[in-house]
Amino acid sequence: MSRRRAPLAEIALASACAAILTLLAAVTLAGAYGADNLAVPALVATTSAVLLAALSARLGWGWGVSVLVAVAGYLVGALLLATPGAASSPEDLARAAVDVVTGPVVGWKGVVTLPAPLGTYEGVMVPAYALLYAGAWAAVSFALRAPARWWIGPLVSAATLVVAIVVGPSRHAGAIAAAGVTVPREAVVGVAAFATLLAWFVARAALDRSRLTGAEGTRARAPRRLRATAAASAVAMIAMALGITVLASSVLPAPARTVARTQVEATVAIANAETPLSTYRAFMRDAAFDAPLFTVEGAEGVTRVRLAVLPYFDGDRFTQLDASGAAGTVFRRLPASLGSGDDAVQATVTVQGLAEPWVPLVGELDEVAFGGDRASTLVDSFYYVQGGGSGIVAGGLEEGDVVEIAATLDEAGGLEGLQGRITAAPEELPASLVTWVEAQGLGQDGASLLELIDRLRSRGYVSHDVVEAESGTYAWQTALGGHDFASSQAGHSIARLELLFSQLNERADEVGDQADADLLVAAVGDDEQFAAASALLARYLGFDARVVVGARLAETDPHGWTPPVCDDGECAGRHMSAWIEVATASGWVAVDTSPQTELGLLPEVATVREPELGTDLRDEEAAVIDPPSSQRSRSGESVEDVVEEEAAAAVLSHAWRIVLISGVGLLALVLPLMVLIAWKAARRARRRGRRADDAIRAGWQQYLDDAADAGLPPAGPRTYSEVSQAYGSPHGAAIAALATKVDFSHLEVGAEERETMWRLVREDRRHWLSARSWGARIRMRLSLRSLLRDVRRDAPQIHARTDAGRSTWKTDRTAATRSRVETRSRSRRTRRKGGSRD
Amino acid sequence: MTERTTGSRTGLSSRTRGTRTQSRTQTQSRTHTQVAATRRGRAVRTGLVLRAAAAAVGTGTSRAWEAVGSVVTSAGWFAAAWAAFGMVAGVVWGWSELLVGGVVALALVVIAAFFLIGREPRDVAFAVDRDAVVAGQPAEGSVTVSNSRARLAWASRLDLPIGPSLSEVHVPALRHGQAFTATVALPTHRRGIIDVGPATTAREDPLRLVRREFRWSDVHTLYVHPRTVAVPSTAQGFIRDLEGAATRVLSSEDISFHAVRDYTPGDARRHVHWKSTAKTGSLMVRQFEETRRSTMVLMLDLDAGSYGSEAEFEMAVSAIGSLGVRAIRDGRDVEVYVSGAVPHFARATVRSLERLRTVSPRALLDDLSGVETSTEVMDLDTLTRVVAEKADDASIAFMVTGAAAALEHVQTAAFAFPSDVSVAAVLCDPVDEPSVAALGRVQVVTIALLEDLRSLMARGASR
Repeated sequence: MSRRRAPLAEIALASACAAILTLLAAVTLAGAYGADNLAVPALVATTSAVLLAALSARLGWGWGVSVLVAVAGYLVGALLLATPGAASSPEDLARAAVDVVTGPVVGWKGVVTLPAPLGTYEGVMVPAYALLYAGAWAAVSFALRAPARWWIGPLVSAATLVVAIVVGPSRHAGAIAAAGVTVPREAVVGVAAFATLLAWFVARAALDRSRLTGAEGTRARAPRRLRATAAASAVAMIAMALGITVLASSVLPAPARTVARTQVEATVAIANAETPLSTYRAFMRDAAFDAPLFTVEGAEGVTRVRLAVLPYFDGDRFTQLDASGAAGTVFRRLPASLGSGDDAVQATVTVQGLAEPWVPLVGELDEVAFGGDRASTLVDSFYYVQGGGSGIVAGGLEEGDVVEIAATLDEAGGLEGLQGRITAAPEELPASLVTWVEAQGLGQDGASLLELIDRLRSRGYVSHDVVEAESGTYAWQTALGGHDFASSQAGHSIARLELLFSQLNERADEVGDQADADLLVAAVGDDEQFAAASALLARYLGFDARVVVGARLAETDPHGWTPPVCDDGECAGRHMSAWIEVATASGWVAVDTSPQTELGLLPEVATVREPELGTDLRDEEAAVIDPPSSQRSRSGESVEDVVEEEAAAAVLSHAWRIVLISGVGLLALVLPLMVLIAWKAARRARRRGRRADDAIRAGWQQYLDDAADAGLPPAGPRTYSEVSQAYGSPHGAAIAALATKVDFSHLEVGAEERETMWRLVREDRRHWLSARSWGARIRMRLSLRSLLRDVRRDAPQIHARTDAGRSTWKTDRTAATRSRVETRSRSRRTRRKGGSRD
Repeated sequence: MTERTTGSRTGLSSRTRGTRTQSRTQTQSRTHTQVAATRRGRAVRTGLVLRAAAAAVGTGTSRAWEAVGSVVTSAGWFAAAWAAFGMVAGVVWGWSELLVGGVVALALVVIAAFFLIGREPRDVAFAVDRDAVVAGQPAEGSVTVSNSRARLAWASRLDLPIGPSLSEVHVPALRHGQAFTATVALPTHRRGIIDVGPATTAREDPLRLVRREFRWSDVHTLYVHPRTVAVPSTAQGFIRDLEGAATRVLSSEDISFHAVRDYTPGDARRHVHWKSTAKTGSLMVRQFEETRRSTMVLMLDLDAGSYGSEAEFEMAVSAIGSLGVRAIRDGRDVEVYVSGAVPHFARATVRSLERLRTVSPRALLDDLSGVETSTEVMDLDTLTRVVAEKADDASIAFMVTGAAAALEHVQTAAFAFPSDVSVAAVLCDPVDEPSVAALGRVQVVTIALLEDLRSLMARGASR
């Protein structure tokens, strides 16, 4: 059956439709790559793929050949166009080649995670090139090569478009204005794609029909008027459908666009961003201390502005995202309105110095709108975690951005009377925290938590820096009224909090729990450490707590220890604070955690002795000190070397394991073959080592075995000379003569004959081997036929071409056998001949 | 207690290997269902009702699905799928490309659905003027479209499938009572069996997303017979030994009496002719003649490898048709065999042949209209061997094959027949010289034109 060659009309149809659809996919992708960068690769990918697919279908190549050609076309095209600069040096070329090969599989991550426009950065163009190329090629190939399932082709094209949408840009592409009508670009792409696909189906059905009608010359062209009517009604139908769509477009929902990039974008932005808690001290630097960050207007009845809400602690810092990814914190695009609240709070936030992704928000968000020059960008890049969580703008805020907020007040009741659920410590906690809480001897209800936090605060001492100001005092010291300096390290990791609570524990050990309040002040830190410590305290008692960084619009702390309230809504660095929120049935309850600012820190207590050798912390002079010799490794090498060595040993042992496993596998494959060859050699040695006459008989057997291994048919009931003649080996006659001499004469044979016999047998074996190809030689060496030689009685037998006169001396019986054999063979030969006629 | 009466039909279906036949006895039996009025009974009754409802829903769904499937074209399926997928993706993920495309698709599908409404306003009648023609002779079918309704019937198109192809008839607009007749020439230039019909009109939308078909007539089968020539009657021509001595074989048991001979040991005692025994004094037995009916066997090689061109095969079919028709007209027993389909892998084990109907010249020609060459058929050797086993009373055999068939195969094939059967081979070779030659015991008749057969058969008679 000859392979079907597609008719030209089908080829033209499939090529045109697949090309249009692929280019539409390229238009969609252009939003992510940048139109200038993608134009040439997309055009070339589409054209080359369509041409190759159409050509191979027209020439009737098989699937295998055309796939090979298509892969070659892809490699060349992608190397030239999708990896710019590949030709500059051999190393670049090699890296580009790897990109081209692996890109279609592993390159997608870069496509969806790198910020748009992607341009031609490294190999990021490769997946797009591969998508367009493969989509166009597969569409044309399926449409032309599978007549029964040609519809796979259009579906492949549609799938290409869908994939382009998924990995494409997350923002709307803008609008096309033509003849006074503005149409979104997506709508144009969508209508064009559907129209092309539908045209493909309709035209293909028409082609199939015209092939049927044109087959037997029965074709009768429809009257002109009939055709005109049909065309006019088709146009009217399409116009009507488009009209319906335009009418319906006003009521169509317009949800935020969700593609692969949207999910990744927010996550990446958050993962890369430092939390305001980690960088809390930056607000207290002299330069930032009085610099306005943002201004909040409106916001009646709201006391706090949240900048970041950090629910997860990974032992190192509080974060917005769960490090393990187990908790389903999802940043969502905010639809037009969440629509659940009463919009009691209206606020306008104007950004001044705040250049972070974190957006200042108030209350429980209902609706958010943006103002300023970048309003449209902000709309598309704003993400929000529901439930009073953080809002972020991917790409960060800039000065002049305006956020208009409609929100619900979320002030919840108090903590008193609540009972914590004590479970095993839910996460890693500082040991000194546990010791301190146990020492306080309080319960586990909400009141106890408040009391604990109160004690923690009142025994704290504010400090925002590690080293004292070089000249004079820091701005924050001045603001606190000449506050004495105490060193405090930044960060809120477990180690840092461990230090905080050890300071408290040590002091309590020295002065006793019931000492005066000013004696107990020991924990040095600022809002960062105290908020983190309080959150961990709450968790230890079984409350769900999160840390919030933000500023206050009204005084909330009865002690007045918190940083000051924003001046008429204008919040500067010095107004920034951190507190915790504890989960209750009625919502999140805010608890202030800032340390006290009234009492001083006593550097020494009566029982504390001055250290005999004071050590100043001098970072810049710090040097690595070798451990004592008893702890060094025996060879005197440094620990780092040992670690490196261990790593190297691990790599080596890994490599060894791979080698070992693959070696064992290889051995398991090869071993039987080697055993077979060795066994055959042993058989030869055993046979040869016998007494002279036996060795010669065994030599004849060996000769038959070699012939069987060589693939010659068994000898059958025939004389030695006939057999050797049939096998046609060079020394066959001599071997047969020797064997006959041993078997049928009384002549003595000696070692000399034995050697001759075995030499001849060996040479004949070599002759058979040398007459064969490389593969056939191996097959002969590994053949099992000689083992089965005696078993296969009914195998086809060889026939010697004997002279006619030879049979005269034969007995009747032998002659009868021969003739019977010959008859059978002839019938078989004729049958085979008859069967092979076709 | 409640009582429910349902009527049901019992069906008897029997299954035979290969084909399925179904017979149905339609006896109206009545089933009385009694359900006890306990709580369990109520549950059971609810279950019964639910099951009946589920079955009804299932039947309705499958019927609706069939109805939809019969009217929606591939373009229609695509538009519907695009509408569904596009609108879901557009609403859930905000892909406005697909949303807009989906709305357009939905609008098109909805508009197209309106074109299905309504009945077919036309009546269509279709007839073919004859059942069988000889290849090359004209045949035509006539389509009559009439409008018996009160309204005007718009101009439309009527599809008429002719064999594998499709013929379009354009029908003008018809007023009430008007009729339109068109004749359609049928393609009879080549031998074959052509299924004509059913004439089909359709309601469809301009883009052909949906298409509702109305079939107006049954399928009409037109046999296009091979061309035949009148060959001389074989009884007086080429064959001289039909009922003659060659088939006269003596037998000890038959009905046709031959002679009386002496008894030899082993003869049946009931065949002893007592009167002759009484006359001669020694035991005499009756001897019979074997009354064998002579049969003419015609074999046509269908192996595509035996023919160089399509014209050769057509000539071979015409030749065997001519010989067969002549023999049937002469009242001879004739059997016509062609090789049956055997797949390549089954060649060694499967033998298949097909015997054509020879009850009348028309039946034979009808059957010959349908034979085609193939690469997967039994070759001539095997065909001959099987025919020789099957038709053991044959006295003359014709093998018809093409120029590409090797002569030694023809000769080998002839060996399959016993020596008292005369074997002739007709080789159709348009480029060779017409001749009659003896190849061993086979008479090889080579013809270049079909008409050669007539003269060569006559020449064979003179020999």
